[in-house]
Amino acid sequence: MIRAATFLALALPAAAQDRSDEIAAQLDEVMAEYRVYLTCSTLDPEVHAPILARWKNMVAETQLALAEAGLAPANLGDFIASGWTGGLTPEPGTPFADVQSFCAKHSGWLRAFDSFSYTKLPDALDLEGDTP
Amino acid sequence: MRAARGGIALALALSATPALALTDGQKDQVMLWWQQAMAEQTVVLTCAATQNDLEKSLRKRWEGIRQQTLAAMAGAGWPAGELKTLRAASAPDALRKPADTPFGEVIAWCNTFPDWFPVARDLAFTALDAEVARVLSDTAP
Repeated sequence: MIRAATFLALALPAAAQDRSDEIAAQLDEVMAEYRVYLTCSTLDPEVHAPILARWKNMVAETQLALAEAGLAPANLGDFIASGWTGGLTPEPGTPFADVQSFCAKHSGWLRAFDSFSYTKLPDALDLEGDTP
Repeated sequence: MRAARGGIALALALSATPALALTDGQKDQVMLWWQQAMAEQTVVLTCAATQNDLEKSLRKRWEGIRQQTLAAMAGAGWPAGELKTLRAASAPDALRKPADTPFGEVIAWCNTFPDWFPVARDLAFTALDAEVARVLSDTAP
């Protein structure tokens, strides 16, 4: 899986490269959080669907916010989507027990999502100061 | 001393004698309830495996139901060997999909039971203990 830092170093405009490490670290952190929500909800379509929809909306909002801040890598969406299988959700061949252990380590995930305690991706990237 | 020996002999005789005479029809009914309940538990215990809190609560609930049912069957004179087999086969870890099952297969399998979550949340599965007790209570002494 390509980490956000590698991708952003290549994709951000030269003027914004000094922010790329910071943005990439924040993006990786949020993706790690959503990896839990998306993976551990996979067996329950009723829970998984709204989480997936929320994630997709946040990616779209983030692309917009990055564009407004003049930091828009053209294919950020492709990058995030590239982490979908094997990145944000486990490979199909992953043993059931491995997924159970992973989710047991994050046992409060459903409560966190239900209580809106999840990180909002555009806010996490803290782009306010980057608006041209 | 003689009275004590007599008491032990009587106790052994009672413990070796089934409390109730079970008919084949009743035994078949009881086992059909077990089959149904175990099939349901296989679904909820497998598909809730990534929701730790729910899985723990389902496991606890199923443990209570099956232990109570097994105790009632023992009280009705069900053969001990059959109860032992049933106890092992109905254990949560025996019911759930094996640990090495590819997760993709588990997802596809759970997706064939779209209503598993409301069933699990509302505990809307077979009341095995009540159904088996009902069948056993029909047994004539």
